This record gives sequence, C-alpha cells and structure tokens, in this order.
Amino acid sequence: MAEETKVRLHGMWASPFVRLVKLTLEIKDIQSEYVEEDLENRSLVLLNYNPIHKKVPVLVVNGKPLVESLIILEYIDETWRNGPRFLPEDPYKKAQLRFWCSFVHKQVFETMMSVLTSDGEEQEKAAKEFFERLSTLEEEIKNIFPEGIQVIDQKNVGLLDLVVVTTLSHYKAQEEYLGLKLIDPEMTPLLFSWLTALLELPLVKEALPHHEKVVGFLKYLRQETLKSTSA
Amino acid sequence: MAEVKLHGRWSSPYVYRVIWALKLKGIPYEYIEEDLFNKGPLLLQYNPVHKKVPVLVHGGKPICESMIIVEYIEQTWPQNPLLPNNPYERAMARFWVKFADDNTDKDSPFWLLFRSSGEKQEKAIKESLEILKVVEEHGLGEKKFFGGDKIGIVDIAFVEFAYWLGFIEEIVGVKLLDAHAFPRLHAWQKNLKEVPVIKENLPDHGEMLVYFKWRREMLMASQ
Repeated sequence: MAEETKVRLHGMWASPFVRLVKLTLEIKDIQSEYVEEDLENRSLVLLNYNPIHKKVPVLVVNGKPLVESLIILEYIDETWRNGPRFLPEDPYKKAQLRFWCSFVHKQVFETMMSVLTSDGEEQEKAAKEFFERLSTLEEEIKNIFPEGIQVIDQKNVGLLDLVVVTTLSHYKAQEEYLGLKLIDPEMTPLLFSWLTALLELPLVKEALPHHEKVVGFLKYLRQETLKSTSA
Repeated sequence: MAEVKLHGRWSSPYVYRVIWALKLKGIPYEYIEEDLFNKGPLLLQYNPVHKKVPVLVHGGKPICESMIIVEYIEQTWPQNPLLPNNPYERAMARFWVKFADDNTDKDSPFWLLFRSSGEKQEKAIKESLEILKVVEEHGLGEKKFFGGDKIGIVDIAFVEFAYWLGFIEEIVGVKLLDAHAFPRLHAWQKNLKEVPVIKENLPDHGEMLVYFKWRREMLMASQ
C-alpha cells in the first residue's frame, strides 16, 4: 500500500462498530486520522460520505468512503496485508466466521441494546432473549476453543475476537449501573474467560473509557429511549 | 469434486439466491426440498442456530445464510465471478448486499405491508417506496445490472425485487415498482428475467399466486 494513503475514520466513541474499526487500524499499524462525530449534530462531511444511513463508522480512504464495520474490516484485511490476517483464506472457515460475526453484531448486540434501554417487565423479557443468544454463542465457543481459552496475543487475534470484545467491552460499567449481570461467569463461563482474556490486550485496555463515561452515556441512552417509548 | 447439496424450499427467495449463484457458475448440485412445518433432522443438525433454509452442504460441511453461501460459492468456484476484482468496488458491492438483506427481509416494510392493512399498511407502503428510491438512485444508477453489464452478487441479493415483490403487489393490489416512478429498477426487473439462467430458475408463477393468496388470507383471518 502506498505511503501516501490518506485514511480517516469518522466515529463515535460509544459505538462498538466504530471501536472495531479503530482497533483494527491500530493492530495493523495503519496511520489514520480520527474524527469524533457528535451524533446530535452530524458533520456535513459525514452526511456527504454516508448519505444513505448517515451513520458511523465511515472510513475514508484517499477520499473514498466505506461504511458498515464488517465490510470495512474485510476491506482493511484485503488491502493491508501486514500484521495479523483477520479472516482465514479457507472459504469454509471464512463462511463460519462471517456467520458468527454477524450473529454477534445482530442477534447479540440488538438484544443487549434492548436490555440496556428498557426496564421492569420489558427488561426481564429482553434479558431472557439476550441470555439465550449468549448461550448459543457459548456453545459455539466450545467448537472454536476445544481445549479451552488460550492466551490471546495482539499478533494472533482474529476477527471474531475483535467483534466480541468491541461489542461487549463496556459490560462491567453497564452491569453496575443497571444492577444486573450481563456476562455471568456461571451462566457462560467460556464467554466470560474469553472476554476477560481479550480485555487484557494492551490496545483494548488502553482504549477502555472510564466507568463514569460509560455510565453517563447509558443514562443518556435510557433517557432518550424511555422518553420516546412513554410518549 | 465433492458433493454439493442444497436444502431449500420452493417458494423461498433466499433459496433462489443460492440456486442462481450455482447455476450461473455451472455447478451441479442435488436439491432437497424441506417442509418448514416438518423440518428434516438433517436441516436441524446443519443449521442448529436458525433452523432455516437455505443450507448448502459441500462435501458434508454445512454453510448457512444465503449471502454467506453465495460468497462461499464465489470463492470456491471462481469461474464467472460475481464480485468485482477491485477491493473498493467489492466493499461497495457488499454494502448493497447488506442493504438488500436488511431492507427486504421478513421484517421489512415490503413484507409488513403484505401482513397488514389500514394505517399500518399505508405506513409500510410509504417506507417501501423510500427504499426503492434509494436503490434506484444510489444503487442501480445508470447501470443495466447492479453488477454492470453482467449479473453480479448485488443483483442476486435483490432477488425479492426481481420476482417476489410482484406477487406482493398483485395480491395486495398496490403497485410499488411502477415504471414511471422507478424506470431504472423496472427495466432491471425486465432485463434480469430475460437472462436465460434466471428465466429458467424461478418458481412457477401460478403456484406462487396460489401460495401468496393463501398466505394473505391466513394473515388477514388471524387479525
């Protein structure tokens, strides 16, 4: 890849999809600029680059925009071949990986968001669904790590590792604020160990925001959602 | 070459995505019809997470999710490529594949309008038209097919618009993909159905009408 490649990421710190792209750029040691977008007041640049969804992340490479985190990941993996390859070459393994990454981004993330932004009976219902998804993931982890969770290194980290850690990395602060367990070591021991190991990765650890920041954002999210649902 | 089997259902657009990919690349396969009210044990074994069709089984190994299957087919049998060579254009194609997946699935306005009536249906019609507008202007543009001169992965992804939407329109009695409002998409629909592989691989029109009519009656009766 040419030295003069200009890479800029438009993002928002609380978005797991943005975190995924940001982490990938760091692991691959790709020089890039980061622009924090205020989602209440999106920059004209963002609206121009992602007119269809108006969402982050948007990765702009030499003036050309790319959207959708998993698509951006595949593009990065194909284009910058240094460092760890996040996707395997084998088509079957790649298909399995794409399936599970999509599962975490859709089924796990969406049910998690329902838990985070609801209360009372609705939250109980949402939590039940969320835990079912985590159980499914727990079953799959047995296939991925048949000998248990090994030490994970920044040099051998894979796409599903990154998707899992970026989707769930704020869970501790979220648990404390909500007063309910999200990642229970008794219910999903493998997932808990895996996530704990991933959270020890230096680049992940460094990027973890302060507890108060996560709680502050969760409060804001709940305010917005509960306000609009009770209207 | 290892055996290729496709577990599917005759009326499913997602199954047809896989059929088109296999046929366009000339890959022989065995087709197994699944009864979704009485799912075979093999299907449940192959797709324990979603228990759905299509499932492609290649050399005994199952792959699920229609567009993941199509990407697998693309990589395993590179003849007649469905994806562009250039990484950026590939990313753009994948964006539209995801857009098709997210905006034409069973929870999309297109199916919502099929399942509802009155105000709910009005809202769904409006949202469906907005989606069509985005695809017409930003997705297809001036091209004959989404893939350019030839069919590509995005044309396959928009399977619902190619054929299934027509049945929703006919049974519900509302024209969405109108030639005046969406001239390019309308032309695309026509061009796609003239491609021999596509023309020869569509579920029977008469049977689809009966099936859609029955489904609509069931849905309205249960409301």
